[in-house]
Amino acid sequence: MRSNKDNGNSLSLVDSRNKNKILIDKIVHILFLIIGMICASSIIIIVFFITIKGLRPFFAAYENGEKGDFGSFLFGIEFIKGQYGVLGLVINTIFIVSIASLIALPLSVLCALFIVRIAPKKIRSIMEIVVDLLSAVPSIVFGLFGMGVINPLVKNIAALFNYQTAGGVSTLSVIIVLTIMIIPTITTVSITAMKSVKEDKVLGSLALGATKMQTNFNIILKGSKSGIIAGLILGVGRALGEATAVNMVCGGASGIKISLFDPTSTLTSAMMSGIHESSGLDYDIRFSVGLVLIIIILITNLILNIVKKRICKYDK
Amino acid sequence: MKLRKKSLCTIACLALGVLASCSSNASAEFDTTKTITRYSRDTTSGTRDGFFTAIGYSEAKEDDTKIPGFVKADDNGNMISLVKNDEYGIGYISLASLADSGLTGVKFEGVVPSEEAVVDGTYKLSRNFNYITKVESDVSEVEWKLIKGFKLFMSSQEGLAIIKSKDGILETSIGSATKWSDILKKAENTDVKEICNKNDGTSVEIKFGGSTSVEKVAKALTSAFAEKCPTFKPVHNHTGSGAAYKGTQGSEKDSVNSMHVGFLSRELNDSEQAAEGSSGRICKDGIVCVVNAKNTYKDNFTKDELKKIYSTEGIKWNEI
Repeated sequence: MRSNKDNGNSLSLVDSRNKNKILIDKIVHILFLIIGMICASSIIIIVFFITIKGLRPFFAAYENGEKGDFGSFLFGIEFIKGQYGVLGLVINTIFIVSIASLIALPLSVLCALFIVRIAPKKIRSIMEIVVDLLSAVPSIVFGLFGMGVINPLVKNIAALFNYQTAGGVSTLSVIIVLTIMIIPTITTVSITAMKSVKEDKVLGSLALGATKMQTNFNIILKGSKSGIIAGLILGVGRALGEATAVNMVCGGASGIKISLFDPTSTLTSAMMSGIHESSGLDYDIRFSVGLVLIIIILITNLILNIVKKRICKYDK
Repeated sequence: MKLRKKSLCTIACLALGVLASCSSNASAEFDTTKTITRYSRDTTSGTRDGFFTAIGYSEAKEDDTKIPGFVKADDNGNMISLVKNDEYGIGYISLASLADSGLTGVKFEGVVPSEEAVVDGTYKLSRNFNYITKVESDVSEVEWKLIKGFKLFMSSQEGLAIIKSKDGILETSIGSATKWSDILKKAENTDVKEICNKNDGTSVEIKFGGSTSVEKVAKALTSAFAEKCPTFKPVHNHTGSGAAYKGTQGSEKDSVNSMHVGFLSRELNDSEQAAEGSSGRICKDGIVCVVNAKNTYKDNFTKDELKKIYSTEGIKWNEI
């Protein structure tokens, strides 16, 4: 009898413990759901808000009678007060970012390869720290570096060709600053990708008589393709969205400006310059530019993802 | 080991290369056949407004197409570093920041830019900092008393000292102004005295806004006045001179953008008719046309020369 009673007691004890656990489980579940919702909804709210604000200029006139024109906004070339055309900025931005990523991609991939496979241990760890630090440097610091060092440098380079620049404020400076900014991003991701290539593949390649360099390029590089492209996507995203540093070295010209030694402007710099003192249409049109920027970033990501899928199709 | 040496060598070479290219050409003489790089602030800037008004080229105040091919500077500091980097550049900054800028302030119509010259009116490249308040019928009694108190404080000895410390140029000397304590003793200011001596923990929000150029001075003034008058609780939201009239007496005086006191870094224009006694001048501010320290070619500009420089794309230094 006694033992039966004991059994009953302990059973109910286990039961209530289980109930407690299930309850905690549920609470945690709900908590995580809420956190997830907050994260997801912030993105939705931001995009929603930017869209509303960005479309506002084209639908109703402002009190001073100004109203944006959708056609001339999309296809206009000059972006100045009272005449907002975003096409010139889009072309400048895409030009600058493509050149910057074209320079940064090989540099950072080779840098990652050096760090992962070639460098002696001591240099490897130092360089990894340096790359990590670089990717944590705030953009305003890159901007200052651009103004203080790269602008004079570009000015002197141009002077060698007997070309007068506006103190080095130019497309080339923007490209250099952006390149420096995205190299650590691409490098860090590439390092991770290259480290995850299986060691037995490498050993197999070496055992088959391939040289170290052949192994590096054929096994490591090819094996980390998708990771490298993921890094490129991050890098391009950073370059497209960079405002502070770009605005400090670009000069804010209007129109299609892709001559290397002349001032230029990008979507982000146009959004940023003078925003503190603007109002009405001049203020809201920056949200429209932001909308264009979001769309461009989305399209670029999509294209790069398709490229990634194509390239990595036959890997598995 | 070998590799480490090699990489060290490469880094050293790179660094040397950068240094070498930095130092070359730095000591070249001023070449007057070079193009003038024209730097300007963006259209929302009060400094730009003041500058182009003073040189008689008002068309360019709001219209970038009137100064083709210019390079845009974001703010005063940005303008300074841009012109510093460019021997052939020309720009304009606030007089207050000239001394530390390392740039050459050029004479305007033969007058050396200085505070004295701004005050006595011989240096014409200047602008006024003004304020405008709501009218009495639009605010509550307490708010009106606080606005009145703030206006009095601006003209008091303490207020003027604060304006001066924030680089405002005063037309009257601080010594000749009345002390705040003496202002409160006056019979017509008993209502202000009463509200300023009240200290029961309650406060009334007074909104300030308008020009960002005046923001520094305005914030210093309101925080000092809040110490003298605990009931006064200033809230600042500065967007631009255009908002000052709109938010106090214009179209937005009842909207969320309304404010009790608005500041302008320019004069009220014809479409902004302020009610009598509701607006006034705080102080003056000088604008100075600057060139690179290496530029010894010109030390004086006339109105027309500046207008010609800013309106002509690709103009060379020897063409003026």
